[in-house]
Amino acid sequence: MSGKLIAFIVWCALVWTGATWAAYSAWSPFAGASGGGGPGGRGGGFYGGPMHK
Amino acid sequence: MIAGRKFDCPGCGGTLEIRAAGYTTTVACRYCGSVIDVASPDATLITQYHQAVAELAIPLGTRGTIAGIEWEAIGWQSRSSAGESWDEFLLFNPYAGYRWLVRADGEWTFGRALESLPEMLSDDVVRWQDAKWEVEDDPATMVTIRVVGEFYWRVKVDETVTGRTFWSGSRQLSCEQNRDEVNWTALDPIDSDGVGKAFGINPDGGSRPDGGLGGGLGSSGPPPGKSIDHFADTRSSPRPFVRWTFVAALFAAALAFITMAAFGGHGTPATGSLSLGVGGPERTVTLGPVEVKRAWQTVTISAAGDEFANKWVDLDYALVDRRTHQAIEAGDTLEYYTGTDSDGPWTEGSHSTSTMIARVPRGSYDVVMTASAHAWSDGTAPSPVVDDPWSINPTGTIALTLSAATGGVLWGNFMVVLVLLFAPPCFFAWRKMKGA
Repeated sequence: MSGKLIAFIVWCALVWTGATWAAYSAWSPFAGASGGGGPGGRGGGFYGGPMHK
Repeated sequence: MIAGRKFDCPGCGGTLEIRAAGYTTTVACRYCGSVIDVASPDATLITQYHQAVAELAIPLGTRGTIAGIEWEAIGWQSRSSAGESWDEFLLFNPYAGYRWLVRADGEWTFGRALESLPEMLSDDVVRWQDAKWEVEDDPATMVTIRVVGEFYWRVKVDETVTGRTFWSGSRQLSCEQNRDEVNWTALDPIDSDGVGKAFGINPDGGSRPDGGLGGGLGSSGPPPGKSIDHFADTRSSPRPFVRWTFVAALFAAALAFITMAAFGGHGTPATGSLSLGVGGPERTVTLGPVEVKRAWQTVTISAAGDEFANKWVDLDYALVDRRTHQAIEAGDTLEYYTGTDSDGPWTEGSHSTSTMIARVPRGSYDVVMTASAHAWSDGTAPSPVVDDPWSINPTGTIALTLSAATGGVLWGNFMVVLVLLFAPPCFFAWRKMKGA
């Protein structure tokens, strides 16, 4: 197994660890709101009609 | 082909034949594996072994035509590195010299020794035949674990070299080095079916299709007309490194999805309903309790409306902690539009929507929902309120079904995970395809 492949597997492990931590702590920058600080916030609000064309 | 010279193996007494007489210096007995020096008139035993007859994909002595030249398989060695082994067949033609057929991981390459050395541009890049070749793997130690047949150098089992492979597309330059010399070999991918047809063998198996054992010096050649005149498409054979990065990324993505789904399992939902008059006042409904049992969880609030068109519902949510009365606010819009224009009918929006609130701390919550319904017209209907086009057609009601529950898969996070995992393999593949 090459050093590059090992490095990539380590990268995969890091990404998976990050995803697991985010899932465990219910953290996401894409949520409509967040209760524990960090990204997110009040979304939605007034919406001025359809965006068609 | 050149006439052979027969002699008896000094190790086991088996009769062997030298096919490249005058060129071959070493013969590895196909019966016992002993290595014999045939450079001198009297065959001398170099190293004695007692091994079983090897079962070869291409029996020695078999002839096949590749690129218009008839080659005879005269030697075979099995080599290994980092726990993986592969086969190398030495081919000989008295007018064209030596070539290699290498089978690794089910794929074949056709190799020849370089006549001109590559120009070293850096430790990892060489130039040869006006192309840049980049190294993909770290130097690896390669060990010869078995040999059978005849060779033009003093071959021996347990011989160790350090090898590196440089790539240009799917073509390879193999650089092997030991204390005494450096050998460069150019390897081009070759279609395995073509190898099978050329040599009359099963290229994927370890034995001949007729079930006979390989290693047979003096075996008959292939049927007439069996030849291979073209190499495989150089783009059709991905490098193992690129392939394994995709495999690793796929495995990690699957693992991440399972983990995220496990942590995002839904709790018991709190449900309710609301009937809104279009253009009417805001209405409020409270759902609960929503119990957050872990230290942090997501809460997903969903709203679905009955059949409506060209209307929208503004939704304001407040997730209120029953103990502290602190609220986490969020909002959403439920909307569905339809109409007809020069391209035909169109729709936009949906009759259902959901909002996820992340990182909600442990506690018991109520969801206070405030909603108001509005209508939109495509302008064909007369407007009763000229200054407020959004109040057109303020009639009818929208029935909402509401629910709130802990859990929910963080799809945005998963998309980021996919990008982070698959971007490097895609880049590696693109770089190699570009090089090809």
